[in-house]
Amino acid sequence: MFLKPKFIILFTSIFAIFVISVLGGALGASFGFGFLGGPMPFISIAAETVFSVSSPFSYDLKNSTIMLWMAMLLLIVLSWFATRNIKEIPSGLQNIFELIFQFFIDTAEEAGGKNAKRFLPVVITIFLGVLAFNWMGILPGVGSIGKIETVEEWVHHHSHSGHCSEVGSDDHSISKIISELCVLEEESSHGFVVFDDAGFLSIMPLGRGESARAPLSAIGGYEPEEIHEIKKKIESGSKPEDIPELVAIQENIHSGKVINLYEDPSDGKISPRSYLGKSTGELIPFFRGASTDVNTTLAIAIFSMIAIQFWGFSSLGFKGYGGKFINFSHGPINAFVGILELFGEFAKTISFTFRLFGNMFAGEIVLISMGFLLPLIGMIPFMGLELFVGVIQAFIFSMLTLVFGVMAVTAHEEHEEHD
Amino acid sequence: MDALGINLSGLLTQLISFVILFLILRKLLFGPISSMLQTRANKIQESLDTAERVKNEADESAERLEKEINIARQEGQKLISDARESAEKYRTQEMEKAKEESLDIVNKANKAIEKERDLAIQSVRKEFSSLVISAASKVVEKSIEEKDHKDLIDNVLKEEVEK
Repeated sequence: MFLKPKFIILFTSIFAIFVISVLGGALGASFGFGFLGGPMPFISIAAETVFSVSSPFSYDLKNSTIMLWMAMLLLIVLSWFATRNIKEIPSGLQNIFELIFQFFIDTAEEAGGKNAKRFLPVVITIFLGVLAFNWMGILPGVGSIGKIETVEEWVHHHSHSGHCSEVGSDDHSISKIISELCVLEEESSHGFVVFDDAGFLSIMPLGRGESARAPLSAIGGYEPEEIHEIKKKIESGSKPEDIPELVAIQENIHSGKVINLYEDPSDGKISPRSYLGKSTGELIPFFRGASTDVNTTLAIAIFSMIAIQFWGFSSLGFKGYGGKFINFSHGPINAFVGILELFGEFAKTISFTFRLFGNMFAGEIVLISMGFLLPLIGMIPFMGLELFVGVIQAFIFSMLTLVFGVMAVTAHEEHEEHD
Repeated sequence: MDALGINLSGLLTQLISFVILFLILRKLLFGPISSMLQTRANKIQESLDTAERVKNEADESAERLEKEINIARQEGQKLISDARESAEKYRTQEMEKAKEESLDIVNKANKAIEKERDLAIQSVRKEFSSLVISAASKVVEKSIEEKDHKDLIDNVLKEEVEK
């Protein structure tokens, strides 16, 4: 069987793909290969702004929000198809949804008896929602297709946020210049990806490796010391337009091309001459897995906790449920326990938020890292792992909501008797 | 907070979107599917109940049939044995009757034979006595009172016959 030509061809091609991906990736890059590698994308914990509105109100549309809406749309369309002509003998989508429902109905009855049915809409919405957010984050194109933030936009953006926005003077235009200079000085080694312009599209070519990040100083064509000089000149009263160095730097930043050769910070190699004149920028993905943004996970956690508090108040009454937290009638120890329970509710919210966010964000980073270590095949097993983690996290989130809900509707006295 | 990317506008957007998702799913998915699950559970329960009832009914009717068959079989048995008994009875009766009749016939025949024999004996005796008288009168040649001698001869004959 091992000598059949079919098998030999299969084995050889698998081996060849493996060798190519090892050599082409980040491992091979340290031996001078790395023809498949690109620079590691800038991993940002915060979701990136894709589109911002300034009037009538200022609003930043995040890429995770776009993904959330797409997942919502998908779920709504799927459930519409599943229930469009609902049949007694189920088929297709209806079957899948009924399977999920039946599973949660059984689990809820096990955990909280017949009354637990009221938790189901919330629990199943959380399960389906989190599952869709998690799984859609693994799709190809998420995190790799986007628009390019030019260097000028980046500098402008950073001079508005962070501590550089706080330095300045009374004069508005001067203050803006000083903030930008502060950014130029402090972020002078921040690397921007060098792109090839291909008309409408900007592509990050394969094989550039980690050296394909040009530092801000090489794009602006300045040395950090120069900025210090310019700052001094402005503070001493000269107008920005009268300083030729500053005007030159601003023009360079505006064009966003590589002006100077630069040293790769990792290995000290001088960048290839061919990079000169290429445009630079940072990729802002259009899509980002909704659960890799803390806002989303916090929102779901808040939704879940509000639902749990609502169940608690509605089934035990204001006095009964509130008595879990504020309880002075049974001595100081119970009062203290009540305060602890109150903190416990907040701790639950926080743990909900960061359990999901941490797992999904870490998964994203693992996928990116594997993509750079073993470009062609490295992602495949980890995508399977991410699918698994995605469904597990969705299950945990919904199950904990169910369990906390059951705990909230259980009377306090009864709870103590069990202890 | 800023480093983690938590901001109020993003948080509110996600929260409102999720609540909208919840409301839509509750209307679009949860209502129909849970009512369908309920209907199906009811239907299955109903079918199971019906099946149980039908099975019970079938069991009952089978039992009843069995009972009726048993009764019929017993009746048949009884009929057969009755018939056999009465036939037996009839046969013995007839036999008895036939035996009696034949005995009767034999008796009658015997009696008739007896009678015939008596008659024959009497006639023979009569003939014989007159023959003896005539012979004796001839022999004695003396007239004898027929009547007196007849008694004497009868007695002699009786003694002779009884010997």
